[in-house]
Amino acid sequence: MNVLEIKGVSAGYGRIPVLHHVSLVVGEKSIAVLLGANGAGKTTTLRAVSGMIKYTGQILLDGKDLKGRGPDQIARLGIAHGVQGRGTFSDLTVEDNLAVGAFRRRDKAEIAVDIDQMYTLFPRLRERRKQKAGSLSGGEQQMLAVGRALMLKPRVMLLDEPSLGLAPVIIDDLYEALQRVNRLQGIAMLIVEQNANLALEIANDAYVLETGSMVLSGTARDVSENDGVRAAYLGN
Amino acid sequence: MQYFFQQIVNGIGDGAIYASLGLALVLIYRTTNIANFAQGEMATFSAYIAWQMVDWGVPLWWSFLIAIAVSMVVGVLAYLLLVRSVQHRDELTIVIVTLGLFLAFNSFDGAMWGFLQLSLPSPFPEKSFAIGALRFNAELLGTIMILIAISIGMFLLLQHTRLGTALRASASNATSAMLVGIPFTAMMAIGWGLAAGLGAVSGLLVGPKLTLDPNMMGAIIIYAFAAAVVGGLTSYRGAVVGGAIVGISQALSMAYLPWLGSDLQILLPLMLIVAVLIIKPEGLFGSTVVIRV
Ligand SMILES: Nc1ncnc2c1ncn2[C@@H]1O[C@H](COP(=O)(O)OP(=O)(O)O)[C@@H](O)[C@H]1O
Ligand SMILES: [Mg+2]
Repeated sequence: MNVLEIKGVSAGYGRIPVLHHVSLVVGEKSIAVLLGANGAGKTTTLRAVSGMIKYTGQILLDGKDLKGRGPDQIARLGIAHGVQGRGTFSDLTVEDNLAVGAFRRRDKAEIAVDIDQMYTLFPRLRERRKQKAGSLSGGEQQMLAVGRALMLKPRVMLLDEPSLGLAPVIIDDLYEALQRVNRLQGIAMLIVEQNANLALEIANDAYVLETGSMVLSGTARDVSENDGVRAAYLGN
Repeated sequence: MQYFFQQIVNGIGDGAIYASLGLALVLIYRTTNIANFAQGEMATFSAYIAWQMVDWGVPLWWSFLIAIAVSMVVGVLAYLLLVRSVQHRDELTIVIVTLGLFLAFNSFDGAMWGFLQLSLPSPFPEKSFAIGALRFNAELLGTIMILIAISIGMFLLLQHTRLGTALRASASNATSAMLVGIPFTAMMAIGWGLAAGLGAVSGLLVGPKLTLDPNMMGAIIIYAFAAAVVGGLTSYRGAVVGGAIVGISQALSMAYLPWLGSDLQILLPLMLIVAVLIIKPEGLFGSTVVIRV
């Protein structure tokens, strides 16, 4: 059973087309990575999924058609979208950012437990819990963005270049945390990256987007052994 | 010296009214990034609703509660029917829309209730208390207590409820708010509704002090803007402190600079605004404004 299915989606901005019949699936409890150069349409794909732009084609969450729903409705159905460049609530505290991530949930006691879990996952956030998100470092903000997305208890989490601009050690920590969450909680993920090494290591499936078209898809292992991919995204 | 302190006490009473309207301005500015020039006229409308209820024989406190409730609904509708469609347009468009709202409420009041002065009864008894040499009348104490209650209520709502967190999140980052499932339009509408309720309180406090006519809030909205700008338009605390500063300076200037005359007295808060903007453009309490998508 697939959690998320994107079927023949075309989308763009105004009259300018960006995506051409893009198809992609994310399986139950699995991680898919979407690779592609700058401007390929990765962000646009995620925006279509979370209802931020119009598209033709079909996008299904647990078999349910998402067409025509707004971003807030889609979030309440269980899609958490961590946008490129973080998108935390900069004038809310770290703790409030996490709390607001659980907006769709009603299980108050569980929410408190989960906030604590986020602090265990990202100990730096615990130290900064009363600080405004805007005052965090880039790495901390990215952790907060991931933590906030997880607080939604999503069926599937979309992450747009989570490693962008972070130091290598921090990227390692982040990916380790993502893998742990995926294993322990079974949350499916669709991760967009340009820098693909780590993403391919933790992913089950991989897709490659070029100028709005899907040019390659398969298991993460197969894709990472593809010569073109090695040259373009793995730096060897 | 006693005269001086009495002026300060009186100034705080007026300041509390400017502060309550100033809080409404801050609330709308923070949630929708709009300086609502119509806030005063909306408050006048609220006072007319209360007057109408009293005229129909509804008990005074009920009349006031109904007026506040009606005002909140009107605030929500003003956002949904008008402001929402221009919210993300350029500032000039928004200014013109709020000025349009100003005229709409002003002419509606005139058309409905005429331009003659009406009188709205005061909800406070005509008692006064002496503490030492200072006199506090019930109206003054009541006004200050209402402002304190409003401030505490707003603090609890915004900082300690799910709705308040969602309101702050929507103001901070509209896109991210939607992506965590917060219904953005509803939050903006609630922001306008709450602000209209706060404005209504100021209208209901002003109504019995002055006489009720469509232009009742004309000077007061300017004082309220002065109060809010002292706080940088973004700080609730700043609006309250700003209200007190404007109220006190106004009372002192009336007491000690009578030669200015009532026409020039009104310039005082404007001079305060200009001074604050020159010395500290972000206001005394304001944070730098976050640009929202
Ligand atoms: N908000 C926007 N308005 C208009 N065009 C856009 C917008 N965002 C992206 N684009 C265009 O869409 C194409 C794909 O962009 P994007 O999806 O952001 O690529 P990626 O995330 O893969 O780098 C690019 O040509 C980009 O210029
Ligand atoms: Mg992108």
